[in-house]
Order: sequence, then C-alpha cells, then structure tokens
Amino acid sequence: MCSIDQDVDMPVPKSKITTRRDLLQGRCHKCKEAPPVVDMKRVQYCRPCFIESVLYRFKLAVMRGSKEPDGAKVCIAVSGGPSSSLLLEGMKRFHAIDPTNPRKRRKFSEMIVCYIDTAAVLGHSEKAVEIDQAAKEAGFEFFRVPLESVFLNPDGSDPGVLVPQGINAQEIIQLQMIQQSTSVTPAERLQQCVHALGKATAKEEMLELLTWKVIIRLAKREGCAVVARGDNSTRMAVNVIAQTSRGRGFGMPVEMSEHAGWYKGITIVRPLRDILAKEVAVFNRFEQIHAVLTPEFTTGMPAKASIDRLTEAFVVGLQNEFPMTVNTVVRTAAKVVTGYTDEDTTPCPLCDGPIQKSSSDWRARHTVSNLAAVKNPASTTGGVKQKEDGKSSPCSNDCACSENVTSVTVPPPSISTSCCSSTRASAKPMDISPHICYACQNLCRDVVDTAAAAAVTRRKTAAPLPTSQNPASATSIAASIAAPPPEQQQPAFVLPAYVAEAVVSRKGRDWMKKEIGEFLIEDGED
Amino acid sequence: MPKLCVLCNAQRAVLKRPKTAQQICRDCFYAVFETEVHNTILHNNLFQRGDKVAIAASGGKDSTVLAHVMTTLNDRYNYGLDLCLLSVDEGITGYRDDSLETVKRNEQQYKIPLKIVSYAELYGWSMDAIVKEIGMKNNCTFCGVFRRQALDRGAALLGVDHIVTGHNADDIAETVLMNILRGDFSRLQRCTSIRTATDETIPRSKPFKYTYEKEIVMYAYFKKLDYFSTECIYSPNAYRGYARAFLKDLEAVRPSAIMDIIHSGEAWESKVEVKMGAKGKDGKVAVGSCERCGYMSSQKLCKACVLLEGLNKGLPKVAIGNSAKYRDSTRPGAKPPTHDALPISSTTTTTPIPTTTTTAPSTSTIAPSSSTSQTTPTPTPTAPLTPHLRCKKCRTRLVPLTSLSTHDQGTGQSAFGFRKRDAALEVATRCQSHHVAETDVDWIAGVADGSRTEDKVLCPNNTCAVKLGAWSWAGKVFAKMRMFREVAKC
Repeated sequence: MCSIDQDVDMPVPKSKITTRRDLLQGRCHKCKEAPPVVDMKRVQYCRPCFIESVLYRFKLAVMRGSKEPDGAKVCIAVSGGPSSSLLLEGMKRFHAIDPTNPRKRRKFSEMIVCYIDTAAVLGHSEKAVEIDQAAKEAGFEFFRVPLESVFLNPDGSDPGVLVPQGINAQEIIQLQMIQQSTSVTPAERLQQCVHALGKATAKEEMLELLTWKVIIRLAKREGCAVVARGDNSTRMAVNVIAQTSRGRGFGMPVEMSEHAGWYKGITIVRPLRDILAKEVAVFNRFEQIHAVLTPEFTTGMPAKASIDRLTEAFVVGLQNEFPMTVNTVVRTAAKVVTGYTDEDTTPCPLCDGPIQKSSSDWRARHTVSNLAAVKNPASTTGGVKQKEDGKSSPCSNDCACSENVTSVTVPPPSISTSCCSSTRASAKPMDISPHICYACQNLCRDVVDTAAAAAVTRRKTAAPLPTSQNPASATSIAASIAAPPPEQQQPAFVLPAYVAEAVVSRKGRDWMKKEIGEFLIEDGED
Repeated sequence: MPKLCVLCNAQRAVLKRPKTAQQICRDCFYAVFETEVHNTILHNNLFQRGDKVAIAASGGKDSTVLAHVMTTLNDRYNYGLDLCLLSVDEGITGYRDDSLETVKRNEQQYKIPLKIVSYAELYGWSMDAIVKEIGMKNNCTFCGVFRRQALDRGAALLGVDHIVTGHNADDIAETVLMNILRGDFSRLQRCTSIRTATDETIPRSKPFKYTYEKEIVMYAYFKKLDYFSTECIYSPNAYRGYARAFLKDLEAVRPSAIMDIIHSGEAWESKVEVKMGAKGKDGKVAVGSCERCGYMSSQKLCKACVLLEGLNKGLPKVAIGNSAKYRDSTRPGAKPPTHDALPISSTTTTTPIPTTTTTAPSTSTIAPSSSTSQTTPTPTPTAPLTPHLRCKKCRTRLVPLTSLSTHDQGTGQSAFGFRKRDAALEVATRCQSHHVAETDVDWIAGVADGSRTEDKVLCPNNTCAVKLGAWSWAGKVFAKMRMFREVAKC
C-alpha cells in the first residue's frame, strides 16, 4: 500500500498551457527556446528568428509590391550602403532556386543590378569596383551608369544643355533657359548643375532626382518591369517628412504607395519598407554583409545642414523615444490620396513627379512678392499672370540692386559654346518655371538666390558700378550668369536637355488643347 | 550705401522678410502682409457682404494683429462686414485677466464691440477652480473643450454669421506634421482646410492661414500694436513641442518650408468628409445634438456636458481617457495595473473598496460616496437613487453598491492557475473584483439554482445581454468568503 512518506514520482502537473502568445522571460518571443539577442520594438528575438523575421517581411513586401505577372525582369538599384547590401542579399535569396522543389517557378525571370556612379560630384570613384564585386558574388549582371549620362540622350548622342538666360529672383521664379550645344563634358555639366545650387538641400534633391531619372531610364532600356529600391522604413519615414517639407505632398502617393502606377510600365518595389534601419544594421552584422559607404553632401555635417539631414535627425530622435514613430509615419503616408491619378495630370519635366494644378497661382496669391498687383487693386489676380512673358514687372526692371536678377531676354551669348549646331536646340529661350512642379520651383529658386548672391559679390568686386538704368549692364550681368568668365569660380547652373524636350512637348500639347478647346466637351458639375 | 527695398525700390530696406528673405521697406511689408490676407479672404470667399463677423480675441499677438488687419481691410476693400470682438474668459489668474485688458483696449482702438463670455458664467467653473480640483495634469482637456463651445455660444449670443480665429501658418504646418507623426489620417485630411463648418454650427475660418508667425510679430512690432505675450500658466504640450522645434529648424534651413508643408497638406485634403461613426450617411459626419445643452455632439451628451458632470460630481477624471487608470490612481498608494487580465485577485488589506470607483463610464450617474468626495465642490444636483453597479452598455442597474462587501486578500492569480495563463505573473496590486452576496445576484444564470460554480455574467436586460464579466464561486480559495460571489467589471 502506499505510504504518505513515500516519494512518488508523479508527473509534474503542467501549471499552464503554452500558447503562441505567451512570453517567457529570458526566451526569444518567437520560438520560445533560445535566449534572445535583439530587442526590436519591444519584441525580443533570438538570432535565427530575427533573421527569419526580416527575410519574411522582405519577401512579403516584394510579393505585395509587385503585382506584375511572373517572369518579369527586375532592376535592383543599389548605392552600396547597408540597406542596398541587404537588398542585394535579400533579392539573391529570393531569387535562389528552392532546393526542396527545383521545379518551382521563380517570381522573376532575371535580375540586374544598377549602380549610379556619382563620383563626378561626390568623388570616391573607387567604390564602384567594390559594389561591382558584391553584385558579381550575388550572380547578377552589373550595370554601372555614371550619373552624368543624364546629360546625354538615352542613345548616347549629345543633345546639348540648358543654360539660363536671365533670372528673376521674384517669388514667382522665372528661369529663362536656352538649349544649346556645348563643348563641356557631361561630367562637368553635372558638376555645374549640382554645385551651382548653393544650398545643400537643393543639391541633395537635385542629385536624388537625377539619379532616379537615370535608374528609370536604365530600367526602360533593359526592359525591366520592376525596379527594386533599398529604402528601409526609417528612410521612408524621413522621406515622408522631408518631402512634405519641400512641398512634394502631391506626389506623396507616388513615393509611398505600393501601387501608385505612376511610372507607366514600371513597378517600384521597396522590399525593405517594413524593416527599420536598425534592423538592417543588425541583420547585416549577423549575416556578415558588408556595405560600401559613400559619403554624401551632408555626411558628418550638423543637423541643420539640409532639410534631409535635419529630418533624419528629427525622426531618428523621435523614434528613440517613441518606438512606433517610424511605423506610424509610413503607414499614415501610405494612406494619403491626392489627385495625381487624374487623367490630365502631367509629369514634371525635371523630377518626373506629378504636377499639382494651379500651384503657381497658389504661390503668387499667398506669397506676394510683386507690388504691381497690390498697387492696382482692381486687377489683383491679373498681376500674377505674367509668368509667360519674358519680362518682369516694371518695378523690378529699374530696381537699383536687382539688375542682377532682372529677367532680360538677350540673344544667346556665344561664349563657351560652339554655336547652335544641335538640331534639337530651340532657338528661343523658354521659361521653364511654369512647367515644373511646385517643389522643383523651390529648387530653382535656390539657383536664382545663389546666382543673385554671386552677382552681388561680383558687383562688389567689379570696379565701376553699373548704373541701374543701363540696359547694357543688365545684359552683361545676365550673360555673365549664363557663362561666367574663367576667373569666376561660381559655376553657372545648367540643366539636362531632357527638361527642354519635355517642356517643348508640353507646350505643344497645351497649344493643341487650346486650339481644339472649344470642341471639347467638359464634364459639368454634377 | 543703404540697401533699397527690392519691391518699391525707393525706400531703405529695413527688414528681411521671414517668408521670402527679401529685403524690403516697412511700407512694402505692410502692403504684402495685408495683400496676402486679402487674397486669402477673397480667394476662399470667406465672407458675404453684410456678414456679422466675430474676431476671436485672446489678447495675444495673433488675435490682436487679426483684429487690426480685419478692420483695416474691411475699410480699405469695403468688404461690408460688421465686425465684433469675442473673448473667452477662462478664469486663469495672471494670464487671462491681463490679456483681457488688451482686448478691452482693442475695443476702444478699433471701435468695434466686445463680448466676453466666461467659463464661470457658462459652466459655473473657472479654470483656476478646475485646476484646483483636478491638478495640473489634463486640465487642457477641459480648457480646450470648454473654449470651443464657449466661442460658439458667445457667437450665438452675438448673432454672428462667422468667426475668425488667429491661427497662423506655423500652427497649420505644425498640425500637419503632428498628424503625420500621430498617424491621425482623418485629421490630416481636414487640418489644412481654411474653414470649418457644419450645417449646425457657425463657420470658423483662419484668415492668417498663410501668414508666418514671425511676420505677425513683425507687423505688431512695426505698427506698435500692444499685445499680451505670456504662455498659459498651465501645462504645455510636450509632444507638440518636438514638432514645433523641428518646424523652426526647417524654417531656418529654408524659409519657404512652412508654406511648402501647407501646400503638401492641401494636396491631401479630401473632398469627401471623413466618416466618423457608423451612423454617418453618404460619408458625412453624423452630428446630433447634446440631450442636455443642445450643442452639436456625436454622442448623447456633448463632451463639455460630460466633463462638467464629472466636475460637479467630484469625479472630474472619469471623462478623461481610461477609466480604469483613474480607478487605480484614486486609491492611496495604488500602483497602475500591470496587466489587463480579468481582475480576480484580492487585496492585501481590508481597506474598503471605494464604491464610487466601481464604474466610471462617461455618462455615469453614480453619486459619490464619502470616501473620495471630500473635495466635491458643489452638492449633487438631483437627489440620487441608491448607487448601483450598472451595465456598461445599457445602464441597467445590477447591484446596489451598499451590498458590496470588503474582503481579505487572496493569493492572486495563482489561485486560478488551473485556468489562467500564468501563475508566475505578477500579482495585481489590488483586487478589482466585487464581492457580492448571493442573494443580490440571483439574476445571474446558475446562481439561484446552484447549478454552476462559475460562468459569465450577462446583462439581465434581455435586449442588451452584453457580457459584463465573469463570476466564480470561489469557496475553496477564499475560505472566509465562501458566502460571496463575485461580479467583475460591471
């Protein structure tokens, strides 16, 4: 019989039923076995679980993001940074043949790696080799495209370059540009284009939009239906705030949404859109993925160096204190709806983003910088409609300190150019500012400001002060903005010729629409 | 050589315009400043000729300049508006009484009538009294809710067609950023609209929507307008501070950034109104009116009436946020709850459970008991019925509070380890269960006939029948308490 004193080996009653959601102290929250090594957003993972989790989110974002039919060709845009390296690694794993089921169809047919070489502006030309090596290791075809190729036609021919003719520093910026061929090499043009923008904010933005232009161009050339970008979610949150602050709110869905459908025939995938920058760093460390770092304009600069840099500091700081900040921002921005899907929304010649209608009027209305309209209250709105004509208002023409900023239409200066030999070159200067989007207008205002500042310093150094009423001095200053003498270190601003083509075709379409306007049936107000 | 103004080119430039960094003279600054406001008013068709417009005046810089600019523009462009000043006196000593002096001077200066509505008059509570009651935290909730309504009530008293407020571009841009950061998508779509109006209320608009704060200060400085500049002596908003600091930095990097943010925000404005409740039809917000005061409200009672009721009942915190938190914080030495599991553990002491804290829904009609209502400032208005635990949904009375009994602490969750998640979990600091005599809860299925020992508690009202909690015949665990049954979370 049994005695009370006797020790009986009873099975220890299970005091609880383990369910998936239980958390065990000191164990990975996912597998509940191994000790955790990382804590991300208050979830503790062990190493294999963390890696699995990152790759799972990666795969999910790829599958969700590209509704393309199977067998599309992918262009992976890399910069060499940590996120790019993870993107490359992730795509490699995604594309690898399933060892358990070799006959399983793969989502994408082919992948190419595209690296836009910014060495002409940022230096560090040696980095391209390292990235090339990484791409080769992944087994993808590698394309190194110099950024300056944006100044050439897609077929490699030289279309010339857009140079400014006259600049008007009013709030409604006028940027008279003329297309002309030039002997300057594309790399030098790129340098001029970027460095003539005095402010780091504008430089970064210009570099970014040119880079994107080249990527899209390459994807089209190579027949890629999908472009994969390495934006991680922290980066995307920074982008949301920075783009908002630059006035690019209208194009936000194009940036953020998974199915924006803005670029015809090309889907943009961001596989890292649910992965934090910190997770990228930890993943790379675990998996020994090396990144090739290229310093940018604001690397190592104080937070106030540029809008991008400032926003990054802001978002990262906030994320430290409120760990869901990045997620919230990205998710909110992804919900945003704007009118960009309207049929008659046109792309901006410069940045390819959608142009919000009547934003020039908006600017003129709410930032009055022309008193002609004020002095004549009867035509309050009439005064702002003067953007198409090359002349600025009379009050700024005879302005003593602003002859450097007056908009004067002069014959194209023949300095530094080998005359108009290009067939595409339009003979007449055109004002591109009304045709570009709101944010790009902001960008161009930096050009104007810088040019004005440069002209002021020039004028201070110049011995005879030009009189205000002298039209010749205005002409000469305008010419000197367009093509500075060699001793001037300030580079003149240039734009790639594709902008001119887009503007010309836009004008053509506007003209056509005007011609047939009376025969079009407008939808009335319902 | 003095710099000439880049706009008129005649006078000496005396200032660098914050919005554009242009160097301009004083007259040109006035001109552009006023023209921009004028453009805003014209383009948005804010007013009709002959409208009676109330300027919401706080005495601060924005509203002082707004009053000046509105009178100037009304004369210059002949809007034909009948202007008046409308102030709200929150009753904050050292803040509002001083700023109201400014408003009174404005009344003299611009020769427009002034109406002051005070919280004390409208609600019977001044902000100082409210702060005395609820402390320094959360008092902005009261102030904000009350002020919004006070403005509308004052406007209704004056019979105006329109209210203009002094919100400036910085405020709007900051709100856009805040809404992105907080993920408040529906507000993000609405926050940039210049006019807020529903059919029920007087439209409000912000003529300074595109005017930089710095320019407003500059305008006041050059025009020598005197205004009252002090922060409210009560709590500032911490999270908003981040957005504000960021915005100032952005402005320093690129002066047009504030306008650019507003431009971005306007691109997101939705044409369709955001659906707020299931009741809304055609995507419109369903707005009813408050049963008590008739002010617009999406609930039975408007927020102001709810807050007011809490104040009058001596339970000011019930209407703010989570009632469970409140329940904890009112008890001496209590810690916040560590988890949200169904409360089943009991207390360490035999402190009687304050009966007022048992339910805390927003429309609570329970009168306070003696334990927490020492600070009750006003007598309860109507003779209360016996306080009861009530159904959280239909308010059916369940158990009279007098029949709840005190009890000793049990061993916490571990007592229920056989069915609860984790016996090792921290013990709740205090029992949140009610211990009730059997006879009081015989309406619970299975209690009277003794067929069950534990089950759900459903509301006895058959049309409601919502789950209220769980009960357990905890005889074995609570040896002394075996005659009691518990009803949790009524």
